[in-house]
Amino acid sequence: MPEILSLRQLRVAFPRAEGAAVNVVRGADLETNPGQTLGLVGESGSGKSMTALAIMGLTPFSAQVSGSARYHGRELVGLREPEYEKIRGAGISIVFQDPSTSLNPVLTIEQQLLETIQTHREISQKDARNLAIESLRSMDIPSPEKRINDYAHQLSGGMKQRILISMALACEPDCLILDEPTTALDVTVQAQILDLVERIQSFNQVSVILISHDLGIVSEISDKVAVMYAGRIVEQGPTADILNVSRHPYTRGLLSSIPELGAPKKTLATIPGFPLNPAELPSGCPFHPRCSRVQAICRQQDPDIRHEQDQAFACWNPEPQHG
Amino acid sequence: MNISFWHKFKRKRLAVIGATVVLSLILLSLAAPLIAPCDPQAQNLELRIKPPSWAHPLGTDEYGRDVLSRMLYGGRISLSVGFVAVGISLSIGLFLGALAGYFGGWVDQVIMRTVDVVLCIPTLFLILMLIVFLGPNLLNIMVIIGLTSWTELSRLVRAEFLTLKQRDYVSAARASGARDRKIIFRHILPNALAPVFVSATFGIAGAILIESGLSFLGLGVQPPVPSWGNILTSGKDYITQAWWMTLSPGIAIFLTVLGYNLLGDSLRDILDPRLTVGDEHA
Repeated sequence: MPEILSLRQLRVAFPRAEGAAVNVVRGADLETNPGQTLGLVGESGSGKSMTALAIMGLTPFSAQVSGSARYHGRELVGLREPEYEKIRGAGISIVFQDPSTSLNPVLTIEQQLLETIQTHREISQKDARNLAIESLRSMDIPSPEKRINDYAHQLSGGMKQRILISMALACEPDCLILDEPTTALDVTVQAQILDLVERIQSFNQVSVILISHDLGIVSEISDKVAVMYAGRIVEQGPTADILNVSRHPYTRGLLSSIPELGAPKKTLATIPGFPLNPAELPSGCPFHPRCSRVQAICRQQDPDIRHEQDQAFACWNPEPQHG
Repeated sequence: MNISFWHKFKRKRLAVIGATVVLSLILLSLAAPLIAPCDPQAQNLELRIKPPSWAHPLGTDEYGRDVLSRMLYGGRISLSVGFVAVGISLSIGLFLGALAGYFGGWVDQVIMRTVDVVLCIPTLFLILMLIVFLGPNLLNIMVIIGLTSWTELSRLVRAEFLTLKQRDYVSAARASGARDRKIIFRHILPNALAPVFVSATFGIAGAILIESGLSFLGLGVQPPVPSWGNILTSGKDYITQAWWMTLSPGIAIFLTVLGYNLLGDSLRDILDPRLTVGDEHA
């Protein structure tokens, strides 16, 4: 299957006036396939959102992006802005975390949707409007012909997120990045949005990158999962494998810290220590100060990615395959 | 701006007072040809320096001209100077401020250092000098006031753009393929307008004051065309005998500036979301 997006050693660094640059993303390898969902998991500051911004070419001005990110074989890193504008929204779209701030407060939904559509298509006002209403309807928005005249403050959080997703999909991109799409929503709405994402993905053959800090959510709808730690993808593989036979101690830690419904009450397992400050990475494997399986080599050298069956992981002393 | 804007506006007494003063002065000046009892430039030497009477409610000046008529026509000058000068400074300030705030980097450096330089020169003296060189007429005055008063506005707009360009909806617009021009004018600018309106309101008051000052110094609108400033100047020579000649323009300037400032102040209170959380009564 030809991949839609493929990242090779993608790096994002922020140079500092003094000292070495801060590496926020340190060589990410990923690929996405049509009709599949890739879950990208990691704690705050692990570089998952920055990876998404780097794909979109929307990293902050001071960031230096290097490595390679190819979209249908076309290199995105260093792509000129006018060319990038044609890909954004039409080829790759992104939905940001907080729906309450992602809509412009002084424009109606219609103005914003039409603008997106007409940026990429030569289409009459009337046709664009019909298209916009249809795309809202497909997102389960009740009476879209009325809602389209609303302003952001007249809508609920879940509604806004649906509108943002329909805006992202209005020009039928084949890659959709959802950056923590459910974090700002309550649990029932969260479930509805996830349903919607699953439907879009299977119906439109879109490849979805779902970014989340919640391995539980990601595992529900993803085909593949990639776990990020300190700017690196420390483990990736098919969802079932990651859930059942994860090799990296960090993935294990994340899994054991998901509370189970109906399980007997006990203290929830946690990973000791704190998320890292990307400006002060320890030597060797960045996870070693928090790792229970730490060995001498872990403190000296950052492990390379190892491939075993469908899984890839970066660990000197991986968890045994069974057990 | 929506229903809640009018709701808050009506509940603010000072806003209503300011708006009433400003509106009635605008209406009076616009209606000057209809309501002025005399031609503002018609002299009647038999009626020199007469105190207020039924025929001349605000008295007459040293050439026997009707002060009320001159005041009404003078109001037109003050208001047009206010609006045109602010219009000019608004266009420059918005444009340069938007460029500096949005693009940052060297664009920002060049524009903001220019602002610093312009701010170094005392505005009134700069204006005086330019007027002396270019000649004192209405157009020059409006343009020169406009050209010297955009600096603060551009800083304000720049600051708004600096914060607004970080908003998620701006990233979202960019992520959907929008160009810089569209993001600046359609997504950021409308959101930045509230403080700009407020500042423009204060700017009108400032421009009117500067014009009155120039006219008072004889570098503004030239007699016999009436302006509040030159009515004041000609009145000051007779201040011991004819109080009405200085009192009316004095009060008019005072009321106008007060009106615009009250309006601007309350607009700021109403439009600034951080200030409207608590008590809304003025």
